Amino acid sequence: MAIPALTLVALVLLWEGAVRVFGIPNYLLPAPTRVLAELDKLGVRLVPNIGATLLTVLAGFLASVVISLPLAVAIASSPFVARAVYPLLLITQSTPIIAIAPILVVMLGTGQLSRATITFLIAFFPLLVSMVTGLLSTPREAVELSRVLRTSFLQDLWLIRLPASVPFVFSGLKVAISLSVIGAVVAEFVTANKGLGYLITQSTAFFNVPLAFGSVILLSIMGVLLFQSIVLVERIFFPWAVQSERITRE
Amino acid sequence: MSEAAATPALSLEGVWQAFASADGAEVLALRDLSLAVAPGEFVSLVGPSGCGKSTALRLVTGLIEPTRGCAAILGRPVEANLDRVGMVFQKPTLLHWLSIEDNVLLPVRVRRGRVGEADRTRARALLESTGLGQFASKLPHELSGGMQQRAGICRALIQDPDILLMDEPFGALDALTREQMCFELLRIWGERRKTIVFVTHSIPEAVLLSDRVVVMSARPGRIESIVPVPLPRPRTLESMALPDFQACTQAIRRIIYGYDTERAVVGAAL
Ligand SMILES: Nc1ncnc2c1ncn2[C@@H]1O[C@H](COP(=O)(O)OP(=O)(O)OP(=O)(O)O)[C@@H](O)[C@H]1O
Ligand SMILES: [Mg+2]
Repeated sequence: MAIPALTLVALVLLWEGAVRVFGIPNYLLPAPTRVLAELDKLGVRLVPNIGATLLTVLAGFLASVVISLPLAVAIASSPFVARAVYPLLLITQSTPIIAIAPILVVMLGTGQLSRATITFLIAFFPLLVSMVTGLLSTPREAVELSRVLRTSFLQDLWLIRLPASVPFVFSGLKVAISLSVIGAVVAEFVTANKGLGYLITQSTAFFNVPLAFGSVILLSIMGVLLFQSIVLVERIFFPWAVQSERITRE
Repeated sequence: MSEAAATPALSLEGVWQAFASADGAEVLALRDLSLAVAPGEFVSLVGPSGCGKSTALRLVTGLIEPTRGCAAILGRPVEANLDRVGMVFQKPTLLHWLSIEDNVLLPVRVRRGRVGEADRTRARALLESTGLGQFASKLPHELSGGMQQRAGICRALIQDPDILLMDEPFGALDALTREQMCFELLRIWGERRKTIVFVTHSIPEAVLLSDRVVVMSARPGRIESIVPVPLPRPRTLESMALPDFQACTQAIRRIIYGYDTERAVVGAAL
């Protein structure tokens, strides 16, 4: 923990020093102090912007969890569903979501629904893939045990396959939350009247590069905190999954 | 056998088992296998790898249906009496997210949907009796391989089955632990008098444990010979020094490694 913090401080100091010594203009690279000053100028008006982005991130993320889980169970349980659904999923994934974002806005309106949908489309696929992989990678012996015990479909899922897939689900969740932040920014680039992504487009339009930098920094902090909260949830509620992840990595 | 009149604990009658292999060809795993195991009897299956020992056990747990012939538990079709059977696998196969106690209780949870205080008491007593009393709340990875295998045996015993099927249960253990586990198993068997069918690759292990050793031949699996073990019970380390012990292991070896001329000799020796 201490070493990354030190690197960060050193980097910021270097940045500040370089900007001052070489006299780099603000619109090219603003000094950290300048970025902070610009954020300070907005003050509490930042809060609704942060809130709006956070809302979009969480809405898209939750949608991808809620939709991926049953879909993953269906795909993992039935080769027929897998064959029927996978081509569709591949098509949605090979289509650049940014390209269809404006179309989605026309279809779904300029509101929260569009932004959440764009975020969801960007975030859900890796999550779905790790969930399916997790469900299919139940150890052979555990599958045999389950059959010898004559578990019902739901018992097999609940007692054996879902818990076995937890480490995979969490690595999917970690990717998904990071992609959700990206998705929310993309969505706000396309349609928004507040939010950190919106702040970036607005401030660069007026050559307020320091504010754009400030927004990016806030976005990174948000991403790191969200990622860490997933790590925390895993540690608290599924300590054995963290354990098994460590074992497989070694 | 003398108890031929009584209902056998489990029986295979004229069982043929064919599998369709990936290239479409048919693999005959078992050919006309007939075996009856009396209640309370300890029978081992030995034979070369791939001769169908696991397949025979899987038939009795109803995991596969015989292509021809039939399998029965206590005189009824396998499916009807499955709750009378406990299965121990080659690997401990514990669920790594459940405590040892919850692993042992898994069959109860599956059959009845939930686990009561009485079940927990029973699980803890079982663990206590196999020396795992202090490890009930530990996770599987905190136990050694031998301890995990013992927990696997406790899980098979939790429903107090009449029949215990064990597929190379000690195969993954070191020689020392393995011997200890054998005596542990003999103790459990002595206390509860289960019918046990035990698959192993170790001939001395089979002789030490069993009333009868079923020697199977390579694919397609058939019963080559059934060797009764006349050693007195209870068996101890000293049993292995008895002449009968040597005679039995030698007889089985001869059946497995060469059976033209010597077969007559084996027959005479028994
Ligand atoms: N599900 C299956 N599909 C196709 N072939 C199978 C299947 N199960 C078993 N076999 C074949 O049946 C034969 C017997 O297999 P089995 O696992 O019963 O042998 P085994 O005696 O237990 O061997 P080992 O001592 O190595 O465990 C093997 O040749 C195997 O290839
Ligand atoms: Mg086998």
